[in-house]
Amino acid sequence: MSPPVFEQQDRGDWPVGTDSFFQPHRAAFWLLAALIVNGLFYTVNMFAMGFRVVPVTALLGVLVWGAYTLAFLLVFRTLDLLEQHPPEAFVLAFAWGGLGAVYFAAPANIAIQSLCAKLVSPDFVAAWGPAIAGPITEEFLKLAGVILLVLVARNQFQTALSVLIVGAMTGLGFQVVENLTYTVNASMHFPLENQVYPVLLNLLTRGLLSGLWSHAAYTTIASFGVAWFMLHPERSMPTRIAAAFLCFALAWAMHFVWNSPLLDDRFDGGYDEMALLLLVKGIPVMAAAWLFWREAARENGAYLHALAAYFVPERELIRDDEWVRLGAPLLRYKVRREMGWTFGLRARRLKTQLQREQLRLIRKAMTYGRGAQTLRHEVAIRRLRAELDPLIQPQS
Amino acid sequence: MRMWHDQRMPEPSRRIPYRTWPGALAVLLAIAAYVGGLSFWDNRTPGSRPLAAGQMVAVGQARFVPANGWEMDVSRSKAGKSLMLFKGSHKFLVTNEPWAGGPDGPLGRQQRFMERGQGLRIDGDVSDFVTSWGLQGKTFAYYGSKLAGRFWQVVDLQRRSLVQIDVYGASDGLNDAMADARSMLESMDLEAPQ
Repeated sequence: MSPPVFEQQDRGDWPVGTDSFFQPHRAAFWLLAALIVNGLFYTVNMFAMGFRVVPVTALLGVLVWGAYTLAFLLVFRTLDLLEQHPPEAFVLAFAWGGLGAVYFAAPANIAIQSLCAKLVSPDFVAAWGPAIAGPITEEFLKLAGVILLVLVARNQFQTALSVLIVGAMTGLGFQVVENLTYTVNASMHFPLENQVYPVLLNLLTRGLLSGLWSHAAYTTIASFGVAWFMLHPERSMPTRIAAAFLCFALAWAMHFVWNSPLLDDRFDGGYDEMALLLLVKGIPVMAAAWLFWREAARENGAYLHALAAYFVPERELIRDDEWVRLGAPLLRYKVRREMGWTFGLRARRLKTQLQREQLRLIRKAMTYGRGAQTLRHEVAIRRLRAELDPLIQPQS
Repeated sequence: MRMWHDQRMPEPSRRIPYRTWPGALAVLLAIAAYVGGLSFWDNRTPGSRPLAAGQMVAVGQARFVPANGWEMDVSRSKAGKSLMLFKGSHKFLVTNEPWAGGPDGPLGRQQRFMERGQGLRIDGDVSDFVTSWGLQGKTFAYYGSKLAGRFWQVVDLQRRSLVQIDVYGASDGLNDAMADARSMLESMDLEAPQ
């Protein structure tokens, strides 16, 4: 069988640029969209019942978990992670996690727990059911969405960080919809008729005490494997598969330990002991996720430095100190925070905009080359600098 | 104008066409095989467990003697929380949960769940009941397009405990199932060792 025509053509013959995430000619796009829409019907139907039975909980739950999502987005935005892709990528990732993956996770988890009850015992399921069913099902389904998104617009994923943020967003979507479902279910079985307490209790336990080391962290780790597989074509296929599998296994193991009763008997049932247990289980997950983020950020920094050095050589667009901090989101954040303390909120806002425009300029220049298409960003940078510089000049 | 010194030009991304259907199909098949396979396996695995005649079974604090011919559905029973028995198409579900509220329990919530969530209708009024062991609470009947049933609720304020008993199934043979359910309820107490 002869290879398709486009594979025979020389790489340099194809237009420079990146694909959008709206790809009606690609099967992966339609599969992703169809499964998200399917999940949407399921989720809406489920919450419609929640609204009818415990309306206060359902409404308050939507508001609380919506605000929780915004808090995560704010952190991502603060670290300039949302600059990695156009908004539709994050919408699709979040929707896959919250709608597509949740739809399939429910019957699979039920089937595994039911099988455990039948083949072992209901006592076994009560203790180990969540650890056996949850991690394998949920990590697999969330990652399936990440893979579909990568298939939809492969050349949007130039760095590990660009895959990790999509993974984190997928995990966040799953986490938020799962938390909302737990909140509504908890209200239906709460030991009081009160419909507000279940929301507050779930926000405390699932949101604040567990939120940082939950699905967003697991899927980040698993996604690193996908990124490594994709971005290291020079390695042998078994090595790439092994790397992807190892990351998945690590995410699974962390999720397993979190769901398991392994350490439960070392802590009594008090609220302080429960909080301690959550910290003991969660901190290793957080540390692992942090290491993956750091490695991805380091690689992303090197990538940005190389792009900036070639495509944006003008130092009035990216100054020396700004160039150094291109790959260090925390340092960039620190600079604008200090600028805010010293020179006021307006200076901080302008510096934030300046940093983002620089990132956009680099990315657009890398995609299309310098020219009319990057002019908007160049003008914006010059304008922002002209506004910012007088504000941060030392007073004579 | 000061410039950064040139370096090797990074490879620009190019919009090279590629096929996604093999990958998309693989993902779809993997999901279908995983979810469908597990559901198929679960459906093919029997979940009934016969119960010894005359021997008490316990759910949390509640314990009772199952009527003859009723079997345990292990997949729909949760250790210490709920026990599902079945006979033919009829189900007998006992749940035990903590309750820190008033003596009426979550009756309103249960009725809202049945009426607004499950599309059932409450048949008549809620009435009180007392068993020969002194177990007392509230009960009501309900019906839907395909099933009918009766719900009992016992609130034990001292133990901060709530026991709910729900028997339901197709109208055909429901009277016999209801008679069995009443006998199981009559045998029930809240003295199960914890």
